[in-house]
Amino acid sequence: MKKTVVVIGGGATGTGVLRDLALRGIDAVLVEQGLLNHGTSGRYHGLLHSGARYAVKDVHSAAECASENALLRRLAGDCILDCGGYFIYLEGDDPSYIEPWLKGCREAGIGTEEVPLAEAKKLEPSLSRQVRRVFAVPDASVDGFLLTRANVDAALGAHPGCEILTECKVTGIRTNNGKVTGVQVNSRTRGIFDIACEMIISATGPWGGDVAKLAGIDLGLHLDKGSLLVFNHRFVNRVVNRLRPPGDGDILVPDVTTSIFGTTSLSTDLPGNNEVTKEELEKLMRLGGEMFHQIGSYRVIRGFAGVRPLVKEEVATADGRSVSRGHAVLNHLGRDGLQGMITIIGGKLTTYRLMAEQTVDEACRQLGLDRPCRTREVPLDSAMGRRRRSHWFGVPEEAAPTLEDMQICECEQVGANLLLESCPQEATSRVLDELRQRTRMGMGTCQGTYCAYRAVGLLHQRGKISGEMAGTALQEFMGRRWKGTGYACFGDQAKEEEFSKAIYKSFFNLKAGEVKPGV
Amino acid sequence: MFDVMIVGGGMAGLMAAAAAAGENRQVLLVSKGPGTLYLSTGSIDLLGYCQQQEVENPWQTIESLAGTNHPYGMVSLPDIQEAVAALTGILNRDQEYYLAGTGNTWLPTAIGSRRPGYLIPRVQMAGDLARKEPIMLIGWPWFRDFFPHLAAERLRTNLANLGSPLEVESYQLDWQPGLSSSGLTAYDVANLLAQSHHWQALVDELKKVVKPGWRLGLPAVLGTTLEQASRMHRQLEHELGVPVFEIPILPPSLPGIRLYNALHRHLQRLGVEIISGSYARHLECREGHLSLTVEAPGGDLTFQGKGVILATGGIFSGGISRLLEDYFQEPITKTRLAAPAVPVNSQQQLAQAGLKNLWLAGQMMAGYDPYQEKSGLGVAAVTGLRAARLASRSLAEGGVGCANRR
Repeated sequence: MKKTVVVIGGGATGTGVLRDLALRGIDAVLVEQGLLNHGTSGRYHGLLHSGARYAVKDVHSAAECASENALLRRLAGDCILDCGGYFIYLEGDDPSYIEPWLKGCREAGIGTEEVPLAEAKKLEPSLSRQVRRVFAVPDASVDGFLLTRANVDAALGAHPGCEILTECKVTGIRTNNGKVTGVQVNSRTRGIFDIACEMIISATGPWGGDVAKLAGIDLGLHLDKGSLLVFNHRFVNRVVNRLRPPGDGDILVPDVTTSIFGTTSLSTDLPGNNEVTKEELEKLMRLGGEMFHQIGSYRVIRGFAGVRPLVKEEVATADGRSVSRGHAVLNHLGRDGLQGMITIIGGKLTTYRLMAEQTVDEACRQLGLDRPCRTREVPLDSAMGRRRRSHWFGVPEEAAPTLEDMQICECEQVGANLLLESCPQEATSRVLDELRQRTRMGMGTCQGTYCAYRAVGLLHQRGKISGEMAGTALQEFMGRRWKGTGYACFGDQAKEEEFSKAIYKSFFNLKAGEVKPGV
Repeated sequence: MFDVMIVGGGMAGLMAAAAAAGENRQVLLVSKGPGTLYLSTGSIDLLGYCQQQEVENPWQTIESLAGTNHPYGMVSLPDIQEAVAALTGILNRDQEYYLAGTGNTWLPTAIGSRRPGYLIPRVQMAGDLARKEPIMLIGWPWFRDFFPHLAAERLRTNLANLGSPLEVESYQLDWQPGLSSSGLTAYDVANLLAQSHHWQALVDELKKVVKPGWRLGLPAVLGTTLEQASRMHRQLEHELGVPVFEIPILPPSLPGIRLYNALHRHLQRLGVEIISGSYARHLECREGHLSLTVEAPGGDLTFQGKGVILATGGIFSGGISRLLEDYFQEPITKTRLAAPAVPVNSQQQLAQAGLKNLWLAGQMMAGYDPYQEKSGLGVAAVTGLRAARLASRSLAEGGVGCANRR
């Protein structure tokens, strides 16, 4: 295989880069070690920042968020639910933070509006009784799984020279005379092979250091893990932020049928560290209780964690332009003397498009191509997003599931037709996770207990997977569901988890002999 | 004043109530619902696995557990046999609804794995994988809770791995009971099949695919009671001329519902007072007897008794709570636990100091893993009956009163 550019990493940034390249007509292949959203892009709040969170600490980042937020709402509305957001000031928090925050928002171009307390409490009855002031901001919730998929679909549709390889890990970087000539990859389905290229763009988030090391480069990343909890229902209508300097456990985002609360911040050495510790769980529950007085009685269905890559150094690109503070485009020619490799690091999902634009601008400069970025104008279509959103939030007739359609996942109302349409051509044993990302199957209150069996039965019946793969897919999928539910295993959720395990391990006796105790 | 107050409506509580009432004790049974029986396969397993090995004859292996911490280890083999015989007697009062082989019987599951059981519903028995007739699994394309092709393919593989030459085929039947069938559960299908025109339509379709010398496996949808299931099963075998068996499917599991209904009805016949839909919240010693506070739909109720049996199950049933702070608790006695099971002594009483005249039974007891070893209903029945015997003997010996035991 030969491509102009190899993009490494199938998160929001990598897929954003692929689409940007495609729209500029540049041949590229995206290589991802797991499924799309394997890393941090699949492990975050689902928040489209208004920027208000950074208004005091980093007004430049705040302004970037504000303008990208507005742009994405206009161009990628299928993946975004414009629910709005509140910043709540609680009795006991530092009141002197409010004025500089309002000033920072004004400077960054973020609209804020104070909401009368009585009205806010009426609209968000779960808010703590300690709330004293409430400000509305243009936060929104965004489905990162859909956004990433939409970027890939748009890239593949825009330029025939683009493709993606998932479950395919980069194992080596080929260089010749200080110049990149290609990568070696190991694909789960196709084995080990080389891809020749002129340019590598590493958009691998916390794995950036590992990828750079393949080229003998030390990136000096600092890895920081953040944990989040998923609650079993949508108990707020808006994003709710705590109005105080950014810290642990201060944002709740309504995510379709659930609500996601986070985060924490712990140093880690492992880019794949997605474990939620007992201490983090207790801390998040305590901080959540400060913002929502009854949170202790709500069911937490699972915990998860993502790793943020933080750049230790403040870096400038080759031509001396100062990079923005939230992210960095590392040109390894200027920095390390290697031609044909760029690492994009840091940032947040809200600014993924801008990061991709800046990265591909730099790549074009090195490749000697004069092709302007088009992602500021071209809408990002997501038929799945439109269909699902209309289904959840204001059902037009044609999107409603029909009576004839077998409901496979009752929690998230995913029918057989949608699953079959969404099933990838070459299904692997990760097929249920693919379908989960595309349709939300298994993401609701029962966490796959009912739908996982039904989905493999359906896929097998329609010839999409073999019986053997059905068994492996079930075990892998439920294993990952139980991993997350295990992090939140207390109260009612402990019961649900035991029920789920009893069904698969006892009732179905799935692979007897490997059965572990119920807890 | 009750002689014995039993908390828990699963196998352990129902057996304890049956045994205590059988000894003419005044019995109260408090339950929040039908317990986990509604989710069970309907088979009564004694011991399917021991140390990850498949158990062929559960009686031999149970004997080897004597003296261990396993709940079976504190009961004599004759007492275990008596409990199983008592349960069989209750279930088979009118007809032989349940059958036992010499050892474990291995049956197919809905995903084509094998599961062990000891006392097997007669309507499942023709699924015995030791039998020679080839198997045809039947389903319906609109039914989301059973996929015959998947079950058949995986069963073929699993059997081939064991060197079994058994043939397994599958067939999607052209039978649809309504305009929109896709949301139907097993329970709905059972109710539809109670109507003769639906029943006849199903039988007619089955006749088209049946092959002489084979046996037919269906998802478990034949009726909501043991009697109904037995009648429909007999009729099917008669009309089709081949053995027929049911395979348990995703809950609500009809074989489990039938089992619960049979035991519940037995208690009603015995005159046991049953308070359902209610939560036992608190147990204390008051004026020389035990006082149980129950949160019922109409408000709190308090009952007095001489002895109490807790058979409230494990975490799933709410018999044990797991708290955020990462420890466990038995919520009625507020006993703090390090693991999701209550340590008991050889008399099925709290291992740590606790109330006198309080016995435990079933899944809440420490010392075994019902999911792994497939012993859940067996241990529940045996320890439920034994708890009732221990309570009854204590009462006979004048052990009334509720001082704290040290």
